[in-house]
Amino acid sequence: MIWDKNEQLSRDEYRAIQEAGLRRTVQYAYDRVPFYRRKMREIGIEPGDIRHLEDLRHLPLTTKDDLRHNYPFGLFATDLEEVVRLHASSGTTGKPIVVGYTARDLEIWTDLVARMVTLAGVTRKDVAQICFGYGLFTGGFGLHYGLERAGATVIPSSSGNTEKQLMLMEDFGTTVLVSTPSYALYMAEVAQQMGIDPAKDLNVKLGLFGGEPWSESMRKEIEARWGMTATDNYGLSEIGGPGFAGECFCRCGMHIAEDHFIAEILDRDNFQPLGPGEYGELVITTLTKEALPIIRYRTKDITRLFTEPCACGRTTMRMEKVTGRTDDMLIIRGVNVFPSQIESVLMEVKGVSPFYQLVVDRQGYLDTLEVHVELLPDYFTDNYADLKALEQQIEKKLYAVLSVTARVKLLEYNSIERTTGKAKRVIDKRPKLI
Amino acid sequence: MIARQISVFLENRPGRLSDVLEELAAVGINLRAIAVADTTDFGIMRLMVDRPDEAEARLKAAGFTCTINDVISVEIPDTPGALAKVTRTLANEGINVNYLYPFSRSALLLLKTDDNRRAVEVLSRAGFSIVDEDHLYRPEEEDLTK
Repeated sequence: MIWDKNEQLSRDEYRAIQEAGLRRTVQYAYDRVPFYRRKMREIGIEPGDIRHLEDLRHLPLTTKDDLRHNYPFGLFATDLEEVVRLHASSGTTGKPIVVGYTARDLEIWTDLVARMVTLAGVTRKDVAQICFGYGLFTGGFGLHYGLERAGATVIPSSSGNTEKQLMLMEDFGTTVLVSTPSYALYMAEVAQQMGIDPAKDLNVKLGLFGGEPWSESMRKEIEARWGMTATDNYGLSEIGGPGFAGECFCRCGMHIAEDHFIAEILDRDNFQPLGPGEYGELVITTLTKEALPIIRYRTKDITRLFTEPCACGRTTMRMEKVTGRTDDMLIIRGVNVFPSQIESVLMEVKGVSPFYQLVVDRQGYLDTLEVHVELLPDYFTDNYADLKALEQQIEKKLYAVLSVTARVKLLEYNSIERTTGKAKRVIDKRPKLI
Repeated sequence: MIARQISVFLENRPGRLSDVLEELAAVGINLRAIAVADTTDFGIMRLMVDRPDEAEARLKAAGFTCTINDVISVEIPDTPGALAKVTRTLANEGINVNYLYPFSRSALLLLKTDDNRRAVEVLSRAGFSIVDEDHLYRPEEEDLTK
């Protein structure tokens, strides 16, 4: 089933919709958001200069830092009175990035998620269990309302308590699992320990996975263990959350909601637009957002785009699975972690040097994060308990900032290589994607 | 009496113990006792050497994280139950032993407590002889006690 007729337009029709949306959004942002007005004036551009998709390249890019510096509502185009929902994403240090939705934004968001889950294969007959955290994270509520609109029976079980999740799954006859891919594999392991074979004893046929990059081999593993079809979807809080793109049953890339967003791929070095099939950074412009219109947002995710029609009958542009990042952001068990967050914690702790290394690995199916940090010689006593306490103190502080468990390992002073160039802060031992 | 030991902070990776030992051997510093507990990521290596100050300076110059600190050296008879008597004596006084290890080639015990000064008092009172640091490294002396 195809949810919206807008999924089957011609390339010319998409162009017409996008150009109209672009002109409207640029004028709207210019009129209502001082940040955009200032940035456009700085380079001598007026809204009237932006007529066609080809003009997009003249507009300034927007980054996560821009959102952070305008915390909390500085980039909102509407009064808070018009805003009916707030969400937030994990930022680098301290303050998160805040996104707002008007009633109409929520209406469109819900419809886009309904479209996305429908193209993955969800129907009114499905029972969907959402194992994303409900809260500031856009994933939980986004999928919740979209799945309801698509007609599925929604179980808002949220994250955690895996054994209970599995019990509900068995008792309620769950057919669709919504989670991070790594949590799906972890659940399968717990199920096996409980004597449940997910492929035989459970009724889950379809997985909607997002929140972290995952490989094709991980997909195969999930499908084998669960006896399900595992689909990928993509979205980020800054542009509204899930609903931007998702896979259909053909699984040949994620269909982008082109009637609501413009996707560009830019060269990683010179930021010039690249053509279909070329790898670069994904940059997104929203076309219908009222509360928080976003022009040319740098996702820092590396992917490529395809415009050929899909075997499923849809004509929307597709994006390949994300294969990497242009920055040093790590995704640990679905949580965004920046080395700078860890650095700021270490700087506050007495007894350790500013030299550190992050070692990311995968045990079974879950990511592990180790923080290696040097003990300052002056803080060394003969007492083992003091050293253990120091490790635990840092671990506790890291958890408070990151919301993900990191193990701290004290190293001898000077054991981390000093470099005059860019320090190698992260050692990612996880199997490579693809 | 109270004797000085060197404690070295070591990451648990192959070759680190050798690195320390070779550093000391290079300047002819003699080891009399050594204790390394099994740990996970890091450990503390404790050493009794005849020239502690020199050893510390040498190790620090070589980049090791180390410190000199006090332990008690107690002489015990080489008989069953002798060590138990030491630990019981301290336990009766509520003194906690952090760790202990034997000094080589004699029934001599090094131990670190949470209150070394009081531990010396109570052990002496209980009849144990506490050995002076100077006497530790003179193997020719028959009587190690003062």
